[in-house]
Amino acid sequence: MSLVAILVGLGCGMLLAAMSFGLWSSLQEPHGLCRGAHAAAWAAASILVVAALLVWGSGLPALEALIGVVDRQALEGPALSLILMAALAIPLRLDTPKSAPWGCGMLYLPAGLLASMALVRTVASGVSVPDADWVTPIRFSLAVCGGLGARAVGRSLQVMTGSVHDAEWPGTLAYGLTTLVFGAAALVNLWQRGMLWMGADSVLRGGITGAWLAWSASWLTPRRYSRLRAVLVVVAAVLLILAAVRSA
Amino acid sequence: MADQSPDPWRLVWRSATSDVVLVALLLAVAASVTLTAWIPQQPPADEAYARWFSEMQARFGQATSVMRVLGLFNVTSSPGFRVLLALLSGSLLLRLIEGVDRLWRGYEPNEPRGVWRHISGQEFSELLDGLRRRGYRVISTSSLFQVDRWPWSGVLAVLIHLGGLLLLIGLLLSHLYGWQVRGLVLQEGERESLPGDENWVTLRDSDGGLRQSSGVVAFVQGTGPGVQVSATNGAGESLGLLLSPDAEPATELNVALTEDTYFAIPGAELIVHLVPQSEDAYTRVDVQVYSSPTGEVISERLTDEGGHTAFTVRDISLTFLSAPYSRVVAAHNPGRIPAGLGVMMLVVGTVGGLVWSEQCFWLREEEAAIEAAGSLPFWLQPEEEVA
Repeated sequence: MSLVAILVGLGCGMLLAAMSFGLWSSLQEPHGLCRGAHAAAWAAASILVVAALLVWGSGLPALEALIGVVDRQALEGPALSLILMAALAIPLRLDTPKSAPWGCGMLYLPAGLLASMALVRTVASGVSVPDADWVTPIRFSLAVCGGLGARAVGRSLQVMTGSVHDAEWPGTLAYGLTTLVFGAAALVNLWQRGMLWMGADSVLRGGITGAWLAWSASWLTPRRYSRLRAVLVVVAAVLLILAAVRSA
Repeated sequence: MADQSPDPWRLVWRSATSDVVLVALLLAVAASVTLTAWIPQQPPADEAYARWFSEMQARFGQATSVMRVLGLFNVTSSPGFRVLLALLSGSLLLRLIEGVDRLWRGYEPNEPRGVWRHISGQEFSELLDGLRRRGYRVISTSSLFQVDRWPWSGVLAVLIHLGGLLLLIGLLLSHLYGWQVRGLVLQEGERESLPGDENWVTLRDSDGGLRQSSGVVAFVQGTGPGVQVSATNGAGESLGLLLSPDAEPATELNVALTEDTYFAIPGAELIVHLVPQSEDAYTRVDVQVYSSPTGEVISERLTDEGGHTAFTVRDISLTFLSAPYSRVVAAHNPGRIPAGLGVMMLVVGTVGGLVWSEQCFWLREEEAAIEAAGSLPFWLQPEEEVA
């Protein structure tokens, strides 16, 4: 078993612990267990960031010499994106109000799901041929946007269950970054290829555009409809994640 | 006094410029575009249609016909999608007019909108100072304070609407007057005519880069194998080579090996069959030489790595040099400038709007309590809503 698979497995376990602590804390008083969940999430994030550096770094020319010697396990493309997204999806700041009925467990759910999928794909792709075309700036950017989007999903799930009032900065950050990636990719295509999105595969094109439009709709929705805004954020983030892991 | 019925035009204007309409339109366009990501769309070329359709039948089975009737294989070209984009353009245009008008009258405080709610936990003067420190503009009227992000909120909103409109105009110009040609096969020095009066694209001899007429954007999508062939007889005279029966004989033939290719040497009664070993630009090529008209194979050999070789058959010297081809895509898009400007404005407006969120709200002090109305920032939510 590769080093990456072990790290992803550890990260998965820590996230499971974080979710369990979080859910348990919703049934117990005081909320000391929520702090335990937070500590477990920090550990999971650290482990998954190392795993993400290993799998992405070995494919990036600048980091190849540094990281390539550690682990040259060949992974299929979607596993790379899933690991990076899982690492970025873990919230590192605990600002959940104590009155939150579902505790902080909900925050870690998207990261837990992404890490589990990454673990399955990492173990399953042990003998597959590495996808050399996967490590591209657009795929990397999309994985970063998807990871931050997943973090916004955690917060939005809390909004939808009534635990908190509004999901603000993770969603704002993901939307802003998606706008920059979407705009940069469109401008590069216009300049180099003459048309918007010419040559881009349909999943990337449709996924990013759909996600950006859904996120824009969420941003325009009045704040008093916080649940509707949260649902739209979830839709947009799921589209981003699907576009990030789906190959052409 | 008799009730005055509301002005219907004002009602239409308010509806058309409302956030609800824009949100609904954005979601409808998002759903349509997302469909194109997961449902393969019908290819534009007729020759590719049959293959594509059989693939769809294999993938979707009985549902294929229903999906075709629903237009799911042709989403962005469907009348419904175009109507959506037209409505979106209309909404953006009206919002742009409203935004410019608001920018023009921006110094005037507005009437408070929304329900007044209590906010607590702060002194009124401290709250106002805090808002000013955060970059808000605070205007005092007789009984209340208007707090907003002027002028940035207005400028950024105008940028977003103008950007969206320019992007849609660019897409329309591209659709009406633009074209794209895919799969052009060019070898070094070869020039291809393109749609339009004097449009062309050529692959340069020197560095293999592309040159094209102004207004055309071309890029290399991929490369493949090709050879340059020449033949001489025993006396050292160059022989004519024919790639097709109706072509002019050429003493030097450039052949792009997109598939198995034949050419004839009429002066020597030979037919040559070329089969590339792979799709790599510098792959080996299997060369078979037949006698004409008997069809008897009189020589068969493989070129070197890269496609070079030279050999003699029946006193005819054949020379093969590597001449890879490039598969080129060329496009003419008159909407490129407005679309590019639109994208830039959208990005600047949206990212700027996220930093300088468009918020306008009103504050007043009532019996030592602070009340607020309008779109409040998240850190200033009333206690009763948070609980």
